[in-house]
Amino acid sequence: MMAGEKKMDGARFAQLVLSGHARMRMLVLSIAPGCQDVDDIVQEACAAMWQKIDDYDADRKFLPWALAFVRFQTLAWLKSKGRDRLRFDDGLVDRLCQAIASDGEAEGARTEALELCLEGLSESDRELMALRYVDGMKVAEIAQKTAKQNAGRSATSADSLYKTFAKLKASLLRCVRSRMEETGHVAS
Amino acid sequence: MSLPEKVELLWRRANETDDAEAFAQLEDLIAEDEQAFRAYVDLMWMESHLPFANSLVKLGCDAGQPVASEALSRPAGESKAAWSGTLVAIAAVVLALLTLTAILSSGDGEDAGSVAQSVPLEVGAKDESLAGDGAEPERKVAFSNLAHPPKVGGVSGGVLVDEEPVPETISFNFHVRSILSENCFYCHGPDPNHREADLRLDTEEGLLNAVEPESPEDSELIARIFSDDQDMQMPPHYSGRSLTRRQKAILSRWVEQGAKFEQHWAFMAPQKPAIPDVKNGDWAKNPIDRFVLAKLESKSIKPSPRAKATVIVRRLHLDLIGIPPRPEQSRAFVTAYQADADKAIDELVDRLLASEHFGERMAMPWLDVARYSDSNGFQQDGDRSQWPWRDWVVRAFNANMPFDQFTIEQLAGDLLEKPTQDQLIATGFNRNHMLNGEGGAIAEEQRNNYVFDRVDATATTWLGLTMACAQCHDHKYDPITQEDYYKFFAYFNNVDEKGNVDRKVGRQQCAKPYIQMPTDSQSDELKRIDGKIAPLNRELADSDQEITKAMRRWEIEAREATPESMGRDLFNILVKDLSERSKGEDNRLKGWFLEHAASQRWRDLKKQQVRLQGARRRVQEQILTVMVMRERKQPRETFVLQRGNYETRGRQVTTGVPSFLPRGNVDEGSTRLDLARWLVSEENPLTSRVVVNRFWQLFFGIGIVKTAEDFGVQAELPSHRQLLDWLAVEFRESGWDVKQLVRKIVTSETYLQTSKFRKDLAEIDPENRLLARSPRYRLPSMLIRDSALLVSGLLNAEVGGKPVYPWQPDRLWKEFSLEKFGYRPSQGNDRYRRGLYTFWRRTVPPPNMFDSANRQTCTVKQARTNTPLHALTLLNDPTFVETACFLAADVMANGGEGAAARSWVQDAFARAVGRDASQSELESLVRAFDQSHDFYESAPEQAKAFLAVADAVAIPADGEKLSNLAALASACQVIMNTDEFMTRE
Repeated sequence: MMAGEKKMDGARFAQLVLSGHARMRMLVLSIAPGCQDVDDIVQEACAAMWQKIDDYDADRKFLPWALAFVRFQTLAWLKSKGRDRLRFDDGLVDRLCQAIASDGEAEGARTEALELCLEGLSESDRELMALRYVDGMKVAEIAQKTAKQNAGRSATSADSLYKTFAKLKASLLRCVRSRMEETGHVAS
Repeated sequence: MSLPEKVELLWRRANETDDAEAFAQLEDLIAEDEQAFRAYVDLMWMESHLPFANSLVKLGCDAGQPVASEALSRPAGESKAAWSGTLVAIAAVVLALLTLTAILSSGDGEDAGSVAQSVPLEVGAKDESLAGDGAEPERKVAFSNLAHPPKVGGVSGGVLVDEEPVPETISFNFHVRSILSENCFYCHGPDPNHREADLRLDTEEGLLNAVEPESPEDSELIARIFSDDQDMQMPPHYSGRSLTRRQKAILSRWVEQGAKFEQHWAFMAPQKPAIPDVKNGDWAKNPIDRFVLAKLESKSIKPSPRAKATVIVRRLHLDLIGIPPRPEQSRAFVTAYQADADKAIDELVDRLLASEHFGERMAMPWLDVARYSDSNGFQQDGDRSQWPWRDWVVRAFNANMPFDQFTIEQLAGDLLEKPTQDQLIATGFNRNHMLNGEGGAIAEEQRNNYVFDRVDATATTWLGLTMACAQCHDHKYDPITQEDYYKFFAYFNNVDEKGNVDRKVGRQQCAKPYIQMPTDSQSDELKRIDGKIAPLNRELADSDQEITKAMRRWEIEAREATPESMGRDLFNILVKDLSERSKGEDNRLKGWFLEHAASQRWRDLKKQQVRLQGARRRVQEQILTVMVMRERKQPRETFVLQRGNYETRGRQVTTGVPSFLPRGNVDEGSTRLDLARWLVSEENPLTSRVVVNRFWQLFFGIGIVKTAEDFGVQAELPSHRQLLDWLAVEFRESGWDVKQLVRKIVTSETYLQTSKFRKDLAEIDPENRLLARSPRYRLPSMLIRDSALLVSGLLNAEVGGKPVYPWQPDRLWKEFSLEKFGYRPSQGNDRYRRGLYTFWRRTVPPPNMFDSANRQTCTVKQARTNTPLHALTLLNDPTFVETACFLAADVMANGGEGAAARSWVQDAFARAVGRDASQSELESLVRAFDQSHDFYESAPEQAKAFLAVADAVAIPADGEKLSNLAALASACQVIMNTDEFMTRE
């Protein structure tokens, strides 16, 4: 049933999975907008990778190899959900895979930059971001919530909240870019 | 609209509404326009990385409260739990990685277990989504769980069994289940959220998926456990668990013999077994002995001879009433024993069972079980007065109340028809839990915590089940579902309480429901006051119209010229227009008017009324208030609480007993009284076993089932399973007669053996589970103190009543309570009451009662540790110093004129240890006396300082008397610190 001795030990594999985890999620989000099962897909992909780990050529980069599994798993998911019509053209998916894999190079520096940029935001902006991205609330829900808190005063509409988020993200992006340039990374 | 905004808008529409048109537009845009493509990649990067940004995650956790309270519905994939679950998964992988690296580098299979154990991980328990068929590294996490550390080696009833031959006939219950439970159930057990490969090995059906009866070679389970291949091997190498050769052979033979499945032994009703035949029938005094002897004979071990008469009398006294015999009692027994040993024992046991101290001794472990305390716990730790409940327990044991009644009255006395005051007090059992009166505490959360505590205490005490595990998820080992838990919860969820503190008087804090128990004089006083108030009330009420008129007139003046003694809030009422005042406000103003501004006659009336009301309140506050159980009129609904959180309600449930146990005639929606009756019904396989096991533990140090708190499948197997069942059935059939059970145990030859250590058993039976001798262990610290008090002659043996405050280090309470509680030691002989009556503050228990249960949650097993602090306490704690001094003074006073060191020491020894000192013991003690005497003769100030510790001892003026007394007191300290004094021999 199970394979015999693996070429790679589990610890090394875990390390690699961990370092590429966010990028794997990124790929799922990119080619399957609206997907609610991101974690499951990534997990299944990881299981498949482990099964095939002996095929992996340790001299080559791990992320592109791993993303191929994620891609396959995501497409399988789309199919299983009958979302075939919501499927990007293969060529576009190729390009996305490449883009995600290639600027995975500077992943560490980029996340660090994001961290610093987030710390530059105001407390209330950060809280807003946390509501959406950490607590997983929908923008409409956040709008309702703030409406409740500000009872009587003008409620924030979901639309204007979206704009706020877009602005915040744009400024974060600028910030990350400039930090990357400062630290000598090529702008992406 | 900028390009990135356009990209995001399209993505959003595609995202949220599965909008095919938006999707197609998005695809066109990013496929055609390089910049849009970049913007899309950037957006995706943000969306996938923001949830993991540390600076947000920290915030998200802190700010969790308002979100949680909103109860908004979220798709599972986007919920906070899922996000943090993912984070946890990542953390878990990292930690698993560390563990693995450590294991690999150690290169030693045996170390693997300890390394896995040492990882401080709650992760595995928290994140159940990990359990899937995921990648190998994630699975490792499941085992790194401190709540379920691996056990070592094959142990059955405390006896190492690895050396033993594999039994001819394998029983699932007694050979197989413990192996599977310990090594497999964590991943292949009852909890579906944590099950690997969809395989469960705790049911017959599940087992048949892995086992081919009668052919081990075709059984996956057998192949896996014998496999050398790390990827095949079960249990997995990283679990820290491994099977011994013997265990593997047992499993294999079990399959060979047909893989017969049996329900867990403790979940099947006990049947009275036949009393076994033994070769040495003369040795056996009663059936207990035959069960014990049969097992010994099967291993060719001979039991030990009887203990000496002096030891027997002391043992019985300490075990049955908790204080040692006085020398004359001991001598009388020895004489009677020489004439007719069995008769002497029977008579002594009868006398002790009839003693009023029997109830105290039996109450000691029951108070630990019931988490009894004189304070509420938590930071405030206010006082409570539940001691009438404690006295109820003592009385119940003394009256030999049948254990079924004892159970019913404590769990549901309030639901009996016309309950007596005693039956209400009995229900204090489930109000003994801690009580949180802190300002910030959320009442409903606390209330739920109290109910959790009742479930845990009740299930542990009567069912021997670790029910608490099922508060958040289905039990990992036992077939207790989360729904079972909340059905049980429902029985205790309807108490008429809010979760806050309702009555505060000084340090006292208690919560409804409670009863009040005025003394006769308090009742009389209340009646007297009421008698005086009534006419005043009447007169004031009769004149109310007149008074109101006068008041309105006064108000007009008062607004102009406000009296200076009037407070601001009253003034605010005064200036309000009549129509704006509430009735209460108007009455307050009237009260003030009557007391200060009305005519003399009314003023006098009012003042008298106020004075009497104050007196009434003061009496009222002094009345003893005892928390009890009482149901709400409007029943509370009970829901399964997801992850045990009172805010996340799942489906609704009604009351019911655990579904895997025979329900008898208890239906859904039954009452707490039905539950209590079910617990002691014939159908219930657990209560009788669990209870006799605890009595056994009391007299033999270890239960027949060592895990007295757990009779589930993780329980250690009983050392004498037939004996346990025999005792259980006998106990129930006797009408739950506690004294009869105790008599049976303590008059058995097994109990009466000498406790002398046997070298020949050191290897075979290090814990003395086979009972080839009587056990020998240190007395509970509470009893060492009681013994010292009795032996010295200081003991105040009064039974029952308010807790007392014996000596303890100055400022101890203050230090631990942020200066809140001062400690005033009791005066007079209240300081010499038995330990049972010492005031028990949860946050600062009495410091000289080491190894005591913490009295915060239900505790069924006493700790027995051994640290230098214990020896230092017994030597230096003023209570112990005082008893030594008092014993010395008493011995000298009774020794008569002309007595000298030798006879004093002899007397003191006999009094303390209950036998005459041997020649060599006497020589050493006299030498110790002489040395101390020399010292104190040259240092009389030291002698005075030493004796001054003992308040009860007068310091002799005469120099020779002084040094004699101090020297003898030192010798007494030596005696009272001998092994024999503090050990149950």
